[in-house]
Amino acid sequence: MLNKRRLDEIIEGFIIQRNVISALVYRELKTRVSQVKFGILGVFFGPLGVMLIFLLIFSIFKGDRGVGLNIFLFLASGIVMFTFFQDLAVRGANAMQANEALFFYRPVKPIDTIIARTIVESLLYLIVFFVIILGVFLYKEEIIFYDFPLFVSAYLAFTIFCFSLGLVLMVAAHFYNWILQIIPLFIRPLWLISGVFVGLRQLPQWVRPYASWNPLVQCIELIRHSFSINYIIEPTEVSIIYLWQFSLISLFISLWIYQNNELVLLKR
Amino acid sequence: MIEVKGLTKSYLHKGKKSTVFKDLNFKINTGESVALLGRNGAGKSTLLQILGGIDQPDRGSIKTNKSISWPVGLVGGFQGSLSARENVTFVSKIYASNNKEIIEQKIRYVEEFAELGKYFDRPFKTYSSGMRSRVTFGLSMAFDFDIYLIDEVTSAGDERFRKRSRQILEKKHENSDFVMVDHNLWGLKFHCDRALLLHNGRIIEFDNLEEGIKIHKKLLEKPANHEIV
Repeated sequence: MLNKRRLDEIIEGFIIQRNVISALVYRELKTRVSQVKFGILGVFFGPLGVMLIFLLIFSIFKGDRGVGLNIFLFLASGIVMFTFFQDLAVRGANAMQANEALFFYRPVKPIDTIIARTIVESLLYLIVFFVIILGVFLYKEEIIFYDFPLFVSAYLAFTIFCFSLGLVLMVAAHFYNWILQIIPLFIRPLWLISGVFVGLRQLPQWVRPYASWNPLVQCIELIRHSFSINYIIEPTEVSIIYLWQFSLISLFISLWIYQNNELVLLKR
Repeated sequence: MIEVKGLTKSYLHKGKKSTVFKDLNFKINTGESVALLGRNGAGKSTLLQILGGIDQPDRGSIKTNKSISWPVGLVGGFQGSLSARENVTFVSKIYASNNKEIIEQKIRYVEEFAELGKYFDRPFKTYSSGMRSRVTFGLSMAFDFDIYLIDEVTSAGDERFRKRSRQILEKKHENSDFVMVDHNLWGLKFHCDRALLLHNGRIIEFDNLEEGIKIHKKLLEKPANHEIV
């Protein structure tokens, strides 16, 4: 039975967790600012610079081959979302080692470090994304968003997916150290099969049913579609419902795995 | 009050298990402070960490209705590239319920205690070990706990720091209890009523601190055998 006392405990738990997460976000931001020049702006220069170099290289190679979308927006959707995904996966796997000293303070639980990271990374990449969008807008002077709610929904669902993955990788890498070593081996081929440089419709027909399982492909295609009605997605292959289902199921599985291992994670 | 029952802790290293201590049972009553004695590697810090809830035992339970501090004196959780001010803000945000005024007050307290002047805003990794212990000790004392776990606070620090930390500890002692580890045995006499001696994975209780220290010194004359009996 949920009596008053139990309810108070639950509320208190949430307040403690909120405090811990806000402290971790503060620490994360301060640390990043302290490690670069030009203060808070410097934090964005890093990822933004990487994006711009990628964009320049690939837009030269690719040209505008009638994908139905500005080539910069086409590539930025892929590269920003993929880098965001990669960052959270790698940092999630490293989280236990990197944050070991933080569990010194009893209220800090391993999951809080992943939540704080997810908040910081998702906002960081959202800002980077918007800077690129703004740049394209100033250059082309045309309305860019065809379906803004779809953009928000896809970004949010994908953030939840990345969080879940980071959480699972944190637990997994704590038990099996070699996971840290094989993650880069998976990341590289993933670049190629996740629709970062080619749209789903440009792939051979027989590959498409397999490729569309990938939530990365789903998210990237949906975001491209949210920019322009001319960027066509097949409703049978790409759907926001599928992305949300995938994300929420991953979330429940990851929370279940974490719940069962929290005490073991805190053991030294 | 802290009640410990059947506490066992071991570490795994390359598939081999080494037991730190086995089946510890003891009770620390409210209003009494104990010294934790034992040679290097006897498991004193491990026991403190388990009591502080930042390490988990293999078996056994710890029952308490009091708030227990983190082990005072250990430099944990401090980000080297951040200043003392930022690090203190971080910890205050965790414990001070998002209240700006309280956080400010904690920062001021640590700043005044540490007496670092302009270095309070320099990166933590540039500090000497004495400066570090001033900040970490000040931070621990900024928060009120019922029971403080104190691990070798004054080992790095000048005479002034030792004197001031002793004064603060004396003041804290009025409302809080201590579990102390200190190889400076003389320092223990100021605060502790009782002694727990960790030896070969067992605990020996002494109602008299002097007696505990005497046995402890006697055991130190022989080399360690690292066997759990």
